[in-house]
Amino acid sequence: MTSFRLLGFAVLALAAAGQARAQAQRGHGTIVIVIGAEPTLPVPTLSPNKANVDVASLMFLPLARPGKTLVTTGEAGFEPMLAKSWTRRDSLTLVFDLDPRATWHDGVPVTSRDVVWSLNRARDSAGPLPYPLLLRNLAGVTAEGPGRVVVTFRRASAEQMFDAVFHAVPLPAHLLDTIPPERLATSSFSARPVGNGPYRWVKFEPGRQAELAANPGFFLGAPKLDRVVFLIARAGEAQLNLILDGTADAYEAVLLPRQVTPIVENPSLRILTQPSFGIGYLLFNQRAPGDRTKPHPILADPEVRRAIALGIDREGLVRSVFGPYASVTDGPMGSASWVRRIAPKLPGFDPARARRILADRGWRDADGDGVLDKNGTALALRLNYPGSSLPRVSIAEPVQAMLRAIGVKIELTRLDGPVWDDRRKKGEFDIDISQTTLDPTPSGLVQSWSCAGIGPGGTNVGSICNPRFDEALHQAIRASTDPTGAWKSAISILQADNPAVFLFSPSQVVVHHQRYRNVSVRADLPWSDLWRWSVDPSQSLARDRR
Amino acid sequence: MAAWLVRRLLQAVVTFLAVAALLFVLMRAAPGNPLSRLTDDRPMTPAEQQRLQALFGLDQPVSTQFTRFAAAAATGDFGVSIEYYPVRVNTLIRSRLPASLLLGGTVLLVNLGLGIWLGVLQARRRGSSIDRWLTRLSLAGYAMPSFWLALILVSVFAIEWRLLPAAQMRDPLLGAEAGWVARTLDLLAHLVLPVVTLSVVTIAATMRYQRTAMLEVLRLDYILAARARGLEESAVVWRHAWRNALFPVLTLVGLMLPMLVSGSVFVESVFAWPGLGSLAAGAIAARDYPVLMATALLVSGAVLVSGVLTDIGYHVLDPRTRS
Amino acid sequence: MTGSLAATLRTAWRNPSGRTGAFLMIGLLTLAVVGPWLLPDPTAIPDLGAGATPPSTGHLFGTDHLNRDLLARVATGARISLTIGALSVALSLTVGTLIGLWAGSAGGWLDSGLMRLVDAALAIPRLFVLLLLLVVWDHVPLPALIAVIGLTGWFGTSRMVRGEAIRLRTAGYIQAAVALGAAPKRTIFRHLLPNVFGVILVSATLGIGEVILLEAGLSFLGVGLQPPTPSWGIMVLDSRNYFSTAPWTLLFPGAMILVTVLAVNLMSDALRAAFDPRSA
Repeated sequence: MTSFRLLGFAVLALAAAGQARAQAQRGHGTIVIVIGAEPTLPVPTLSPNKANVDVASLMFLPLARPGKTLVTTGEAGFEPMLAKSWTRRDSLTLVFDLDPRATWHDGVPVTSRDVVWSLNRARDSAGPLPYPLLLRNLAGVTAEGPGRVVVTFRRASAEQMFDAVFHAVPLPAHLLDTIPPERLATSSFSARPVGNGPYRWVKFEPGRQAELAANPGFFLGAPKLDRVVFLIARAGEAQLNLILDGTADAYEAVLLPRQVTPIVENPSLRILTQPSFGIGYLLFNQRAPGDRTKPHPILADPEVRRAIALGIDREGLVRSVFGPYASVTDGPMGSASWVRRIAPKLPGFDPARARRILADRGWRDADGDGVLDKNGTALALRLNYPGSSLPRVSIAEPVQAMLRAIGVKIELTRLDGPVWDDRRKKGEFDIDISQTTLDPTPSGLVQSWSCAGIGPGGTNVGSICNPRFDEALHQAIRASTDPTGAWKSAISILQADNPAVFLFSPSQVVVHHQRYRNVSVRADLPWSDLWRWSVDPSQSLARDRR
Repeated sequence: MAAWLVRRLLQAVVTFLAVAALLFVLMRAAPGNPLSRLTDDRPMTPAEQQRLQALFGLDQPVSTQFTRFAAAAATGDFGVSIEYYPVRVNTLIRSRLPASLLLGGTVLLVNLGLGIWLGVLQARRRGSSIDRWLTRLSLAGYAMPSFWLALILVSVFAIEWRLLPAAQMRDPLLGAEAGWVARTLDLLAHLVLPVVTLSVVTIAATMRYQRTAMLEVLRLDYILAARARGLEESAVVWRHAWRNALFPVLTLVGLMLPMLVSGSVFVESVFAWPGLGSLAAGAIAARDYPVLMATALLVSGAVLVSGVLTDIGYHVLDPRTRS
Repeated sequence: MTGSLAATLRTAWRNPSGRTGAFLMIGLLTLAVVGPWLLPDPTAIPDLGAGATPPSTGHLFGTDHLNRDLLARVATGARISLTIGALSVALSLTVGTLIGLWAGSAGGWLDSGLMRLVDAALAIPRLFVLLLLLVVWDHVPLPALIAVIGLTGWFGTSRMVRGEAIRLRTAGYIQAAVALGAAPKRTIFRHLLPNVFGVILVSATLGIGEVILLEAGLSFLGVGLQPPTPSWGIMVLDSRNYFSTAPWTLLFPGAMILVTVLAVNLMSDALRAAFDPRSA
């Protein structure tokens, strides 16, 4: 009720009091979460859009999920969800036993048929990418009776369990098996999804909000917050303002210190920070911009890449832009990734050495303009980034200033979002400020950093190709026992090659009202534990008692 | 009159078609691929590209795409949004139009009410310090970047002083059970800051038009005669002079009418107002061609319709233009 | 529209608002011309870790989030904004006047064709057109930015000038001149220009204000000049989250836009009053 204030506050206070008395017994609590886009298709595997994924995570459960440490290897660390237990039959077979209490929101029990149907649908090579790719290690999915699913794999690996449960979340086969795959997105099911999770779909008001309600029969325990509203605000400042003025109760964002200050000063708000799977880095293009058949005239030389990396004060940059809300990363992994704990550290800021390396490679300032050159070519590079990303905008200008100091001229190229995206994917850039959220598994590195990821379907837009790294990565992924040693050596080969300047992993920042208890947030799906949250009864607001 | 009207309407239709073609070409010439976002970070495979292009009809030559678009648009169908897939463009427009109409309509009312009243006041007190200061203040408002003013107003009134809601159009938790009084008050509270922002930056024009028009009329003989007859000053001003000075303001209304649908990209963004302005801005940022075309055409259409309405108004009111 | 141009300007100068506007503009021009020489490098980052610092004797306007001198940035921004404003308006007025005269004096199908085109152009939101035209460049060169803004701004002027041209074509003294053997088109041109001068001047000054706001708006949407060029629009954009922690970083660039456009509007208002004393 924070929005009325000045206008008619008295009238409303009376109305609200009456209403609150009448309904005090029914509800347990409400949460209004601000999101940046519209959840127009909140169904798992149908849209990679974050708003859809976030909303879907409250309605649909996976078979199991990585535990608190988010380790993606082995099976023991996983938490049961739809599957109450699992056993390994042999090195290529996992058996899942479904929780018999699990039901869809329409009352029909969740059975092995749903799981088999969903996994096979996602795996179908004719279906939309990236699922056939992500599930390529699955050889077969079959049912043994209504409560048991058997998944077989093509080869032994430490991540079989992860592959089977993480990517494709089960959908209700009894409602969907008559709908052709290409019609699913436009079907009435997608407009009113029926899930099996702690919350069920209520309504969506385009441009404004989506509303979910508690599923009291949820088999893992009735949710304590009985109403979840996702409020839509596209612009970052509008999102923050909705939190600050009390309209909304929570949101998750990559925040800069300047945005956090007013939150810290607000006594009714709490900030929760934790490691994330996000990373930001300066990606070098090793091929000529716009022509992948030729090497990049400057950046194909690994020594030049090394010098540029040494010329950037990563620690200072990350501190000044993010304050405490990000950490320096030494490789292509977020701070929540388990690989990060074993990755070697990169060499620190050393502009003198950077200059020496460049001089050794023949880059000298012959014309005295402060920019190094070689055979008449200046050491000038374009730095592409989207103007809509606040962290990247904040990083670009200091990077330019730092590299100027070692004689490298950076032309800042702040681009309109779609143009930036186009350039990046076509390899039309020198250096790109990339920021992405990775999967919890390090196996995803194949797509972005190995020779196999070059070209359509892969995300290796900088054309990075080092067969030694590929071999090491391959071994790390195949390792079925303890893979840490193999991962460590793969990462250090990648680091030595300097395919990018690894900069930061932003903290996952969740801002929430202080009246919530048992607050827990996951780095992979932030709101998926919301059903465990509760409101401290002594602090509940009018909005909690309806 | 009928022949004139037919010719005028035909002109408008031709202009509208030209606008549509121009917009279509402009949009397609701009770099950036709308489908690219659908695959997140990943460049599309050729097969994927083909499938998605076919899904949105982008695999056809641009000329075919335009004729298809025009044929469908003529029946009022603007296709499916790419960014909001699978939502239809018409659904999107329908869900955003009321918010724009509400915001634009309120600003229009403030302009026509307050702006006209202040303009008349200035004309009556011509040359006084009130007249001069009203001009300066309104010009200062006219000189403000709307997004800058919006940011400051939100920070002060919504965040520091907590007097008004910061963004969106209504309290997300106020359902139908709250009753219409509470809901209306809530809506009004959400309207205050965006309306103030947009009014401050636009009201100078209304005041100026009204002041000038009023000055023209106030010196006419019949006003002098009315005064000489000893009529009350307010009666002279409002009943006799103002009615005739309203005529030029009609032009202005014509110019402002499109505001009803166009919204304001900047103000809607700062206030997360769910109107067409923010929809269009988002569509540009995503190169969502169907939504972009529909919103741009809606605005252009509104401009043209307002032009025709203004001309008809003149025609009806002023016999001299009929020749 | 009586009296010589000099007399009109003198009248405008006697108007207190007009004079205030002129003084403000002189101050802004001085800042734009002299400022960048005297002030620190607007792109230099002396101490990245220090961030935004409040106004002090060392930095009169304080520093921005990258510890750059805000006054120096605002002064360089003034140079850019005023250049864009003046040149693009000059361009759109020239084009608009020529086309207006052409259409007005030619009449017939050429006139109606041109005016339909103008109708169409006026019906498309300008911001939209500019966005789509400008994204073509990665690094929009200043002349291109000026050209694109100028070439999308002449439609209103041309319609206005055409109206005047038609009014004059039917005026007695022109018809008399033509009857005496003067070439009709040249006569119109010669008599028309002085007559439409007032209209053009007023719309010019208003246009400058519009263009400065437009450039700021474009930068706010992420299209336009590239950083570290300190455009006022980019400065407001990049400081939009700072109001509670470092309000000066948002207030000063926005206030510069406000003062500049206000100065121009005040002068325009005084000029209009001087040209048309009845409405003063």
